[in-house]
Amino acid sequence: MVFFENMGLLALTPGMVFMWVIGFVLIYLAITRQYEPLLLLPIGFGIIITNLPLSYLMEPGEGLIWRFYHYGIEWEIIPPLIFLGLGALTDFSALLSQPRLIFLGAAAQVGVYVTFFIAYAMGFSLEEAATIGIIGGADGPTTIYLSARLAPQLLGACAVAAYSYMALVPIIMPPIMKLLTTDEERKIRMKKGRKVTSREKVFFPLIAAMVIILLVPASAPLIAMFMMGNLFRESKVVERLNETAQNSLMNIVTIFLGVSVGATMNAENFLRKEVIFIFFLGLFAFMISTASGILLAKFMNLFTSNKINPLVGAAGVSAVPMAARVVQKVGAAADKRNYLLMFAMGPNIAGVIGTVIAAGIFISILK
Amino acid sequence: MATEVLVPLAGNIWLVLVNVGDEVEEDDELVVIEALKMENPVYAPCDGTVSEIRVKKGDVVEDDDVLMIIEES
Amino acid sequence: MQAAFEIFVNGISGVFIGLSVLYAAIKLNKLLAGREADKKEQ
Repeated sequence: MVFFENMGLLALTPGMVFMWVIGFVLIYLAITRQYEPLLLLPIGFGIIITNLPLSYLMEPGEGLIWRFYHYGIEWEIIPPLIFLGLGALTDFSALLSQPRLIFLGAAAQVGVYVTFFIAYAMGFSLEEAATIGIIGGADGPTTIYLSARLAPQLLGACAVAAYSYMALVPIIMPPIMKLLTTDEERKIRMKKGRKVTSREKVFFPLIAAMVIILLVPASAPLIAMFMMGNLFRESKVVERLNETAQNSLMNIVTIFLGVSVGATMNAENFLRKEVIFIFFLGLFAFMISTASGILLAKFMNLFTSNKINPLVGAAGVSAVPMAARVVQKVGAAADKRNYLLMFAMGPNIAGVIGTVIAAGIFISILK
Repeated sequence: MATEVLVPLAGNIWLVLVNVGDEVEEDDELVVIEALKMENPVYAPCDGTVSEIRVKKGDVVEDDDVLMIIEES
Repeated sequence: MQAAFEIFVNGISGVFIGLSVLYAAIKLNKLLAGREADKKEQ
């Protein structure tokens, strides 16, 4: 009977079944442990449905999910829109009141480049190594953006690695933070910076967009959207746009992003030894980024009497605001009256900008 | 001597754990402030009696606002 | 290897240079728009 000829069941491979397991695990983690559910749930689902044969969901030119992927991700529309929402959600006060924290966000990008170098030494191409390195920036949309540009074949693996490690930041970061700091250093209380006026907060997105795009034009799609979103927020005169950018728009593009990214992970693409390397390198990247932020903070302390608590350097890993929360926790464990959270937000947000600049530099050199 | 208990980081008042008239000891949790979806307890700076509470659940507070006053014993 | 090394150096310097310029811009912003109480503050 023709019906049986068209059954997907008969075209199943063991690899596909294995991918189902991965999809189920991600969904399980998203639901029960709340590991980045907004991304990992649709990604998990996307993985499962793409590994159901003969659905043609990812068939170039015709598949439903292929269309989401092609027009949303390959055309680089969705990641910048996510940045629009992120900019609308971000309060730059922590950075504006103590600008020197920006350098901690810069330091954290060292993890990106060290990992890039090691990935290249391990045999990945320059473009692939860059995509793997950017995982260390702990920024999902930037990772997806760069991957789609330079190494789309690694998109699924790098995205899942990035989001998984972002969720695991409370486990990955503390041991490194404790290793690299003394108990004394962890107890450092920081002086609050100056209050930030709303005028400063309105000028900032304009100034930042212009400065960064003049220096690194390739970062424009992400930075322009990020800063426009921030301008929507801080101008206070476009609340409808602000609200949409923060909520409806973010939610809509997140849906398309998640399922598309998951759907790229078919068994053929994903079950290769490179993927295991990517997961190890990604973890390594996170660890080096954490360490370099802390180390720069300690270095900066040699030159100033207004000491920076080195734990705050770890928040340069731009998993916002998870990394800042981890800093708060580790700081409070050393001195419960030490409230590092808002200080940690400074490097945290600076790290986002740093990662986008790093991605922009990779693109301008490798494209 | 009256001691002011100040807000250590901006956020929303999540929980007020004491009432006016309560006796508190240094390091007791007085208030929990929510910031960035994290619960941050504010601790008593000294032993004493709570003489005034200036905030309630849901209030938005800034750095260095006064939360409550403790009469030191 | 040569290319990777170049990218490594350009990349890290680029990030630091870019963020240093942004640092300077923030300081300038503070000078121009900071400190005086803003009347439209919420």
